[in-house]
Amino acid sequence: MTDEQKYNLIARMLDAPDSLSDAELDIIASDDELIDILAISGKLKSACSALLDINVEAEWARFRPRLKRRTFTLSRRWMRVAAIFLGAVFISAVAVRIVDFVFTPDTEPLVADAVQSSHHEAIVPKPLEHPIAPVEEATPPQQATPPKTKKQRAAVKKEIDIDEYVRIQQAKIDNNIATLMEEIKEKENLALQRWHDNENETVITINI
Amino acid sequence: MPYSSSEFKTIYLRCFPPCMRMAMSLLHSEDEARDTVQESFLKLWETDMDVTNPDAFLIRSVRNACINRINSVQIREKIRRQLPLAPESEETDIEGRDEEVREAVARLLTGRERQVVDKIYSEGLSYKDAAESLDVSVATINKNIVAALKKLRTHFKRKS
Repeated sequence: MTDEQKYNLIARMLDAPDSLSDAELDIIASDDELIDILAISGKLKSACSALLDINVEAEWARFRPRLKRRTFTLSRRWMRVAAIFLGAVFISAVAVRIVDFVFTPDTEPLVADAVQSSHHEAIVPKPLEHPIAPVEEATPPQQATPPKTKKQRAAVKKEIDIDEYVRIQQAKIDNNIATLMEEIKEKENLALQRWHDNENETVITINI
Repeated sequence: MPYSSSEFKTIYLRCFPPCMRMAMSLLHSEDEARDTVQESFLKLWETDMDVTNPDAFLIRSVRNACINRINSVQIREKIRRQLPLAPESEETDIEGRDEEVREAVARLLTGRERQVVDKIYSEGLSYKDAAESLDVSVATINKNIVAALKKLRTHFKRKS
């Protein structure tokens, strides 16, 4: 770079810095003399500026609200930290409770027993203790008293299979209906026989 | 926070002017200087350390904050605001430094050079306005400015 080029660059650097291209900025940043000239120019600007007129009381009044805002923001930050901590403790407690519920000792054998029974054991319905009521008055299937523990509930489930029970009950009802029909037929036949007998006696009486 | 409100106010009223002047001389922007100084006072207010010399704490804090701000500024903005491109020395006595510069200007520069420096730096005129004011060309203004700056650079390089 020639001296004239350097002079022009310094003039634009100090008087019209926005006119500098990126390449010229790189040249300035890599030239020690230009870096020093810029630094001296800054010090000269500081030294030649009028002494800053400072109204300290006004500055304190301007600063004080910022002091209070900052204190409030700090306490809000602590509140946020406390809230996050409490939330983490709560979630941990819920997670521990869920894990405890899923993996309690009672549940594991219960699940195993239920699975086993559904695959291997034939379902045997419990024999009824009371006579079957007419269809219209069919009572709901008898059930064991509600089990108190999960184990008892699983045991009851073994004994009663609703579908099987309904099938059996239906068969019994069909049997009853068939029996009744037979009885009715028999009675009709008997009545017919009696009528025939009555008619024969009348004919004999007339013939005499 | 080791200070009461009244103690802190006393410190503020005493330390704010020198801190503000130093920040102004480094940043060349009143708003930025005020913001930087206030942040340093807030740091003092919030610290748990037992600060034995709050004046020195504040001056160092303001200076470091100003250096950080300068380093974060893009090179084009630095040149526009005439901020230093290279890292500064550890000097904190800005008023002493300014006094030294004024003495060097008075002792080393010619009459014309001092006139041009006064127009550009004290009055804040552009090259064109300074040229019109002194009834010279823009090239003459530039020539005198460059000469003045080179003399001061040589002087301070020799000193350091």
